[in-house]
Amino acid sequence: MTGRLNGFSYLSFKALYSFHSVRLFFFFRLIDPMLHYVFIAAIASALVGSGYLSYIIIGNIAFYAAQIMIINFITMFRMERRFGTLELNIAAPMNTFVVIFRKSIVPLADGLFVFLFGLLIGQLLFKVNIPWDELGNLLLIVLVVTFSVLSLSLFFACLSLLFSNINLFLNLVLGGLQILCGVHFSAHLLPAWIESISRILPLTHGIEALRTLYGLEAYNVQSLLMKEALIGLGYLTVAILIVKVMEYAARRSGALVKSA
Amino acid sequence: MNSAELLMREIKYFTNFNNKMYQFLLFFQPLVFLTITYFLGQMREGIEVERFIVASAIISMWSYVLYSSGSALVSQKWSDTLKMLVVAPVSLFSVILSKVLSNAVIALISMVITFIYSIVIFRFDLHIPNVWLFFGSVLVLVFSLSVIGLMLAFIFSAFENVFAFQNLILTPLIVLCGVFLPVESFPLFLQVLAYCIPMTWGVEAVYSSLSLSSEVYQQAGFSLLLSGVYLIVGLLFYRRIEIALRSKGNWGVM
Amino acid sequence: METVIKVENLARSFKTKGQVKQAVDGISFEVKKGEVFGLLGPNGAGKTTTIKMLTTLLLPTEGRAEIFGYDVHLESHEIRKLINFVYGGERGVYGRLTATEYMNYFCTLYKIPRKEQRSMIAELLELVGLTEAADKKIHTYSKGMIQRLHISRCLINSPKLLFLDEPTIGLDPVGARMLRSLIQKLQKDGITIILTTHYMQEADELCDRIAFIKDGKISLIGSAKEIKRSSGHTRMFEAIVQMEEIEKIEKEQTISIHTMEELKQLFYSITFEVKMKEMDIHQIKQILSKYGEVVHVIQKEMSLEDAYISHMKELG
Repeated sequence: MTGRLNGFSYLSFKALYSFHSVRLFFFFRLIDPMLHYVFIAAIASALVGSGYLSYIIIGNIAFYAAQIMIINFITMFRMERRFGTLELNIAAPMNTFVVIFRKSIVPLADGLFVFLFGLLIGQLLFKVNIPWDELGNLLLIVLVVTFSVLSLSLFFACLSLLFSNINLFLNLVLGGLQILCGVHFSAHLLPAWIESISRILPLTHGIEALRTLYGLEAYNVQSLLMKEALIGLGYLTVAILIVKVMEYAARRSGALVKSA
Repeated sequence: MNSAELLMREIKYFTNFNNKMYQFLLFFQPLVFLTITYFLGQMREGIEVERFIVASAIISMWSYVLYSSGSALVSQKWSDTLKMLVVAPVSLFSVILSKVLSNAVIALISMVITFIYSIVIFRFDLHIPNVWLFFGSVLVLVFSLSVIGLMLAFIFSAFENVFAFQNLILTPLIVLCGVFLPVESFPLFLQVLAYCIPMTWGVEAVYSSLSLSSEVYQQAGFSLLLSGVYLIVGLLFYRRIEIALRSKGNWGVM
Repeated sequence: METVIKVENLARSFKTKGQVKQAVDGISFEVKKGEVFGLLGPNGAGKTTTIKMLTTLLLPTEGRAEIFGYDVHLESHEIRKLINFVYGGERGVYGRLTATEYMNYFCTLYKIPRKEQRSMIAELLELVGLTEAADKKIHTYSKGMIQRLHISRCLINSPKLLFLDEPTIGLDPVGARMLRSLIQKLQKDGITIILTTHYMQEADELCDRIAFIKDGKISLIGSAKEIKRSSGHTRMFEAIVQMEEIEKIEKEQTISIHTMEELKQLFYSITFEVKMKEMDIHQIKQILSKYGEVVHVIQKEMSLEDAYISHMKELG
């Protein structure tokens, strides 16, 4: 089973992933994140001074990993539509959720890598020191956050069956996550009703836990992790529940047979 | 004049406000930037509001001009209309130029949108001491952006796959040109590099216009001068592209 | 004979910008096991929409369709195991994969046990003549090769029913020929095939029965022979005549001239349609000889294309 899983995921990656050469890997997984952090650091130091640098960099490391996962996952589905292969996948007897889930493994690995590499860049470039004595907890947070973000991506992928163009929606979501999930500033600063939205999104609790571990905030890491994991489970459950509905709705509206 | 007519047509027919990416860049992106600015501002007292609203506006313009101008030729290539443009009696350069200029006009609109958001939604106390001076310096900046957009359009179309790298080019440019941190705070070699880019002078001119510093004219002058140089270089490149295109008969493999 | 497809009053409309477009408008037909059934019609007639509904990718807005007794609306899962489909053109492939990898991918989607995959893929690629190109990236393939790869993909789940939507579109004559013989081979193996095409000769050669479809409605259904016969009232003749004043014959009431060509001075070759049904060569000769000397007359055989064109003309 695992062998098959790997084969299928690997072929999906090879067929659909936006890059697979060493050169592109270098630019998009090593250089691009660094530029993103530098860009953010420039805004932060200009606006609020270097005192908040670590705070903002940490939030952005998590966000950047999340962004990579979500964008790449959705891009895979866009490519399926462009190639005209989405319908071939859907029409196969394998359960549509299983197909989507198997395709998620590569973005998951990708997100994990970017996350860990981000923490390393943080240490090297911005002196955001990794709490080595809490390494176990740190890795746990990274795992839980990538899981919850992946669940959100799965949820979007299911939704994307219905929309032939999910681009704008995707950008809105990424913009929204930046504002709502405490990436640049604490989610507590948001008005109460907006913060209640933040609390049901992945990333929010994970970033707070991460900052706590880095000694930038003082929350209960365990309880934050529980919440983050629960939110992830929640999106996963919803994704599993809606995939049938979405597939049916897509057959009804004809969205499956439209190409973007 | 032919170019002016082409420009009008360009804005009228090809500025597709239904394009989701355009909608995003124009209307949503400024909102995200301003929100972040707003809440970051709450974390510290006494930040220069004008400077950061203007910075947000500049980023919106920046992304808009460079993304859409940079992709002007590439998207033509994709939709296979490039051939038709080339055989049209107007020169390729003026076709592209009109595309880039129309993007510049829309970029100005995006700046206005940022200002409207910041006043209406965020209730920022936006005070521009000399509106005409400010507007003039913004025009200078937009001109320099357009010229660089022109160069990018060339680069993206001439080399395959470079298009995918546009983020890698655009993000550092924003930092390098001193939109957030003054260029003086960079290491010397970065300063030299920064001052070779016309936008750096343009950005300085915009900020100087806010503080009514007398350097504004000098900075604007340098920006215009550099943009002019780039424009001439661009023109030469386009001539060569057009010739190469005709003689080789294919595009993109240069 | 077992009925494989049963379609009753099937309809599908699309809403776009407030307007409702009726793509398929209440069609009914049945297809028996082992048949090759052709759906012919102009662009936008509703052929592809029909196929998408039968392949469970699109729900009908009205009417019903059963595949092997399963309802396309409610039992898509059962149907998907038994069918497969090919769309013409170059879509539906992953250009970055090799043919073997592509087949591997779909083997997994169709839950083919891993042990069987290798031999199965080799066999299927062999069948369509792609063995040598098996390890080349698909983006290097020609249109014909992509079509053949599609055929080999669609056989992965040993389907009992195949949908081929314009499989020979854009292929060169050799490629099209190859694909046609493949289709004939599949038919011999007892696979039921639904075929759409714009090439009448192809339909004539391959299809047991044909339906003409236009504006979402089926207007004629039957074997190629029956269809040609039903259009038999448009009887075509070809004649070589020697005439002084060829213009006069154009005013003749009993025939309608389609083409006229001057062979040499005063000698003409004309093709025409006889307006009255019961008229033999002898009578025709008599009519023609009023205008000049008749060298010879032959009855032209009605092709499916003639039948199609005359039928579509009638529909307006």
